[in-house]
Amino acid sequence: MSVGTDVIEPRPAVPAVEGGRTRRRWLNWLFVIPAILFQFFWGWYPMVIAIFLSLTNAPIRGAVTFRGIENYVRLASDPLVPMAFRVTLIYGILSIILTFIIPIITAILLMEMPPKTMRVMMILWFLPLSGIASTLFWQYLYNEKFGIFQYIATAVLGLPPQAFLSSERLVLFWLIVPGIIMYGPGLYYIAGLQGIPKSYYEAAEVEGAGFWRKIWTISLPRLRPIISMTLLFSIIGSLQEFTFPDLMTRGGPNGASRTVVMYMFTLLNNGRIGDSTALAVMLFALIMVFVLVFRLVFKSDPDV
Amino acid sequence: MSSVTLENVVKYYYPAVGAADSKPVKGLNNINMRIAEGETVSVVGPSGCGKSTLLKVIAGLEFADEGRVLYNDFDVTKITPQDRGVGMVFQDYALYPTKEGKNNMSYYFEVHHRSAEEKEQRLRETSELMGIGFDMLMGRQVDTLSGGEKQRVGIARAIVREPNVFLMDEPISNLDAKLRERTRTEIRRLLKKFGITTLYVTHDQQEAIFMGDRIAVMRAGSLEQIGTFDELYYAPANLFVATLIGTPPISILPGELAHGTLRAAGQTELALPEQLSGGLPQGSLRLGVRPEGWLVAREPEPGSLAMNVTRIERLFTERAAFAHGDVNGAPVNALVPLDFPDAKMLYLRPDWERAYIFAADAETALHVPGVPELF
Repeated sequence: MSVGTDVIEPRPAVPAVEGGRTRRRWLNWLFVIPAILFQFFWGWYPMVIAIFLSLTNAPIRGAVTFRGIENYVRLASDPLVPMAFRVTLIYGILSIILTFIIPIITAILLMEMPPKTMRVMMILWFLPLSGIASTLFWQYLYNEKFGIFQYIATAVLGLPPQAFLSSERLVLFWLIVPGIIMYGPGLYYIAGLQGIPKSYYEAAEVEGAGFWRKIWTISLPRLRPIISMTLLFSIIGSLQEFTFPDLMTRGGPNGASRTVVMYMFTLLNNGRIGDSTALAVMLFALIMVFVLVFRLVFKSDPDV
Repeated sequence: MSSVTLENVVKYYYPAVGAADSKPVKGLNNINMRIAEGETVSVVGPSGCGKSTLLKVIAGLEFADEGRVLYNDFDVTKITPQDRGVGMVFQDYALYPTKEGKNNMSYYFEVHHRSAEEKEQRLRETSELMGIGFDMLMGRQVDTLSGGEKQRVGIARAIVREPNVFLMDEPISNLDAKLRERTRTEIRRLLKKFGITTLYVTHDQQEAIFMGDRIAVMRAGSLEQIGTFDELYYAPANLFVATLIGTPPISILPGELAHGTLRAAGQTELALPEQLSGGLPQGSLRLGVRPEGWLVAREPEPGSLAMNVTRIERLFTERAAFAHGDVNGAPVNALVPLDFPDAKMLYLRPDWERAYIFAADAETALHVPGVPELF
């Protein structure tokens, strides 16, 4: 080293005192282990076992024998399987189209209301309703003889009596409609919108931006992470739909509203565990394809 | 560019839903103000005094409930912010986060469907005005800029569209002290260069003095006084303005006036000059003396106030020192030379030429020294 210059030694990575105040590695693991165990027993383990079981005869008792793709071959010849996939795809796509955009628009409009009105509207929108109770309520609304929708269709609009949930052609559409009103990612959007500083809108206003331009250049770009997250969740959720159609229609009429998960449940009840897990693996693959496509489309995030 | 006039502007505020008292509050109480063309007026006052509301009413982001807002002689009271042509700079910058500096600045031209050539030309002109290195900021994502750089872009965005009025809402409060000083010099330079009518809101009196050709002092929705620094300092309209302007603040001592003698701080009898006591009512008063208005002695003299010194603050950069303490419980600050020795007690006499007299129960100024004629 040259004379007369102060050389700053690189600071040693290890603390000078043995056993000094660095967090120990095992301590880190201690905090992480509960989550890992949970994820293992309720996530990865069932997934791996399901893939394994789908290749066996999967008996309830007795020896498990490996059967190769026999289960898949049997499912391929089952006409109910493509039907269930068709129902799931239509239901999923329809529900994303119909229930995804509307909460965003509603949330944006809510934010434009005076605070007092907004609070009342939010209470109405996010009432903590029991899922099953409101499902039964919707069943009543759709009733072909004395439901209010039938009344509106015949007495108010003067249409011939509608089949609603008994219509093979339209049953999926009628199943989506409650979701438009009840499905609630709106709360996320409102939280996101409230996090946008007011000065952004003020800055845009003094520069001459009107309502739509403010939405387009400030609200939506700022909501983008939330939108992409809820979209992902609703893709996964709607492809796995079970409870609501099961309660409303039991899959009818003639399987026109029987989703893949509902058919899986039927197979399971019939003791066909191998077929059921094989179907589950097929649905898993389908969802993965959707998620991958989603990731590709939403990859370019200008914020990052 | 235009002058701005406020005539009897009133703005009501409604308390939050469920508040015990739900009567509307006057956020702005009968404001009258005129900002001349090209003038910079800074608005100063404690938080919640309505200074930001005043700015928003001028910008059109809030509408006046009563009264009128005029640009030149044109009534804009009911005109939306989109059509007022103001440039505004915000404390939190409010730059569009997904855009580059340049696109932030061209937002106005996009909204108004101006030609690309006009946009490019204005961007180039503004970039030159903003000074060295600015064109580099224009190409960067705003998320990657530092606070000071963001605010430069914010200012450029406000001036690129040639505003009628320039409004700044605490533009440099988020910056650190060093940068604040540099940026405020920079803003002052730009304001002088453009000569745009400007309203500059701040809670910092130093900043207000530095920025404004005139200073408006606000409190609780009312405009207390508007004038140059000297006017506010030497001829405050009331006790509030007198205590707000000046660091360290003016010392206020309660007193009783009887037969030309002021018994101040309950102890000492001070003889008032004839021409001062003549115009004052007998009875309770308040005496105000600024730090430089005290004649300081180290030994007791007849007719001087005994001050307990808590601390002598030596400002080496200013070549001066302040003695802080109290006279019979009332806080007092006095200016002393830098080499003044430490002392437990000091003896003060007011320089009556520089004394302020306020009413005891109201804030009215009964006597002020007035702006000195220096030249």
